[in-house]
Amino acid sequence: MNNRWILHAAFLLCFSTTALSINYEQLQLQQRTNLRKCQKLLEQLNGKINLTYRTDFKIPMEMTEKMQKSHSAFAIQEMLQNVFLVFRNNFSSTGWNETLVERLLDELHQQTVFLKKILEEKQEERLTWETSSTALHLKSYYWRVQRYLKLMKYNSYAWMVVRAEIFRNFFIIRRLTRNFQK
Amino acid sequence: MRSGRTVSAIGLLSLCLVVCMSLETIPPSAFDGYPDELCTINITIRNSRLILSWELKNKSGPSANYTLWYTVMSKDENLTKVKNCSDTTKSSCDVTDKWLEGMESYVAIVIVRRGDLTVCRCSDYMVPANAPLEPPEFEIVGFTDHINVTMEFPPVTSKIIRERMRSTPFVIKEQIGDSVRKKHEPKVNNVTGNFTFVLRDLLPKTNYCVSLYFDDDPAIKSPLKCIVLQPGQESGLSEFAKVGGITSCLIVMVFVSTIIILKRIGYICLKDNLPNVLNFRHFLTWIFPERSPSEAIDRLEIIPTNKKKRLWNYDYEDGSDSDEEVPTASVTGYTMHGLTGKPLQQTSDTSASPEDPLHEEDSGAEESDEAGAGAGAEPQLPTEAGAGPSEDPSGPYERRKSVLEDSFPREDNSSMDEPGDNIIFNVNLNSVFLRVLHDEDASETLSLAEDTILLDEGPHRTESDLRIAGGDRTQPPLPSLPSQDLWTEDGSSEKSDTSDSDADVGDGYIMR
Repeated sequence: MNNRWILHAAFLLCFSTTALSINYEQLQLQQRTNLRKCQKLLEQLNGKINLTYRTDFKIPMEMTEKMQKSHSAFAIQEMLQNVFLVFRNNFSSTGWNETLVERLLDELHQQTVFLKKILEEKQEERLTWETSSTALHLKSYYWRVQRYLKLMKYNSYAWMVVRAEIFRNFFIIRRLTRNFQK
Repeated sequence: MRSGRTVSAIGLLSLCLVVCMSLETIPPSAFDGYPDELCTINITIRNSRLILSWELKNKSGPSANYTLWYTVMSKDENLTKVKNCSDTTKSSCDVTDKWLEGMESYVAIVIVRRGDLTVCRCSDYMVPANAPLEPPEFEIVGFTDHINVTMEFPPVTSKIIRERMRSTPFVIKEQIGDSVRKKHEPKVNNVTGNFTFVLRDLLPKTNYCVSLYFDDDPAIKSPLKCIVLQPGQESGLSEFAKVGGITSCLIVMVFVSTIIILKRIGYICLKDNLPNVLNFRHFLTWIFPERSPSEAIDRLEIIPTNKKKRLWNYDYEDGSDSDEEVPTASVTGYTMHGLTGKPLQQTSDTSASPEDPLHEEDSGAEESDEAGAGAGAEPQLPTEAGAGPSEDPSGPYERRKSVLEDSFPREDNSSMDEPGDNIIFNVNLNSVFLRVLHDEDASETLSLAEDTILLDEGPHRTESDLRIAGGDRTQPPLPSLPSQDLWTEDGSSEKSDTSDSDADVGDGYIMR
């Protein structure tokens, strides 16, 4: 009887492992496509650069280092979600086309929801990621971006500085996507 | 006094500007008052160099001179001018040695001067590590079955470019027309100088196109270069044909010589030296023996040794069971062995000449009793084996029957029980006389026709059952019988009487 139970448990474990495995190659392709769209939309959000408003947001450089696939996926999800939150702020002073901003927000939201769904089963790994120093540094980084915009009262020069920083975010996401390769 | 101070301030400021200009750095706000020119600034990695290029949207008007300045977004640093890109008409600039931090966001400001009056600026920011890789220049040389793709990779001095090339796959795409035939991914990470890649297994008289690119997002693909492979375009083809021809000839020669050797040795193509019994050429003849034309058959009259038997009165027409009939004594005192279905008891005496026709041998005692009963008043035959001419010729009929039966192996008697059917019988030829009936004996032959011994042609019998007696194995057999089937009493270990000798008893008979 015990043997049968063990067999059942082993069978379920193998089956669940197979069912819960993520196709990282497919995820890489999808992420690259999504990122390309977001970057093209962001390039259309032009404005005047005022070097006086420059600041160092101190992006965590460990994001550019090699990390495991699941943590890369968690990091990408965190970054896309925070970029979405940044562009949800008041951008009226910039003169940007609202349609373009809406499309950008839509792309960011779709990819965030998709990543959240496929990473639902990896709760243990998510817990490991969220308690890591990299995740904490990432949260601090986006808090600084949000605070800067608020302090600059969401003026256009500040938005151009944030826009430049978001381009760096996209570069880091592309770097993290390469971790999905075998 | 006040004018003196103003002059001093202006002088000092000019001095600062001169100093700054000489250092090629200026405050970041130096160009804040300039109008913005709509333009597009791009950065790419070309020939292992980081190239910044720009394009003004307003291309009309007099030609412009460009001066490139840059700074970083993360630090409050001055603008720095790129020396090689100052007051130039070129709309691109090599910043490989200037932009060294891949993760940094660099601000590029292009000061556009048209004539002496119009000055504007064109600016943007970008991340060098994000710069796309352009494929190298390449040349293709086509041969009959392969194409050499030669490209040059200059030495890489920038850490940013080295990292980009390491992490980005390089692809050589091979096409036939519009369809992609194959994609090759050679490793070019540490390649410096000329690099040749060979596209093999190509078909002659086919138009092949080649394209190179780094598999990045987005990927910048080189323009297609196409070539049609011509036959005989390479001297190597003839060499290949020669080598192939020589190789095939060698193989054929080896094969043929091997066959010849094996044949001579005798491993293959053996002659047919099978013994006659294994010669199946006449297999059908064995199964279905040809019925000899009656006129070709010499009738043999089998006469028991030293015995004169009664003639059996055969009558096939009425279907009487002649097998059961008691043999009757003939006028001449011998009998033609007829057919009987009653095996005799005596089995060991093979020299007797029973009046029965060729009969199967039987060693059973009851059979001899039955034969005895069937024989009627015939006395019992002795049972000793090897009985020959010295036997008492007046021995019982049953004994003679049994002798004959003993001479031959017992076979199926079923066919013998049916009157009117051809029946197999065996004759101990060592114990009988044989006489070929000729024309002068025709009357006798005719009278004895019904007693003529017929060879059995039953379905399960063959002529091999017929044995012709005599030590001379070369006696001509019956026409329907192959000579191989002849068998003499000598072959029978138990029953044969090898001590028999031929003796002429006259009247055309040979007593053995």
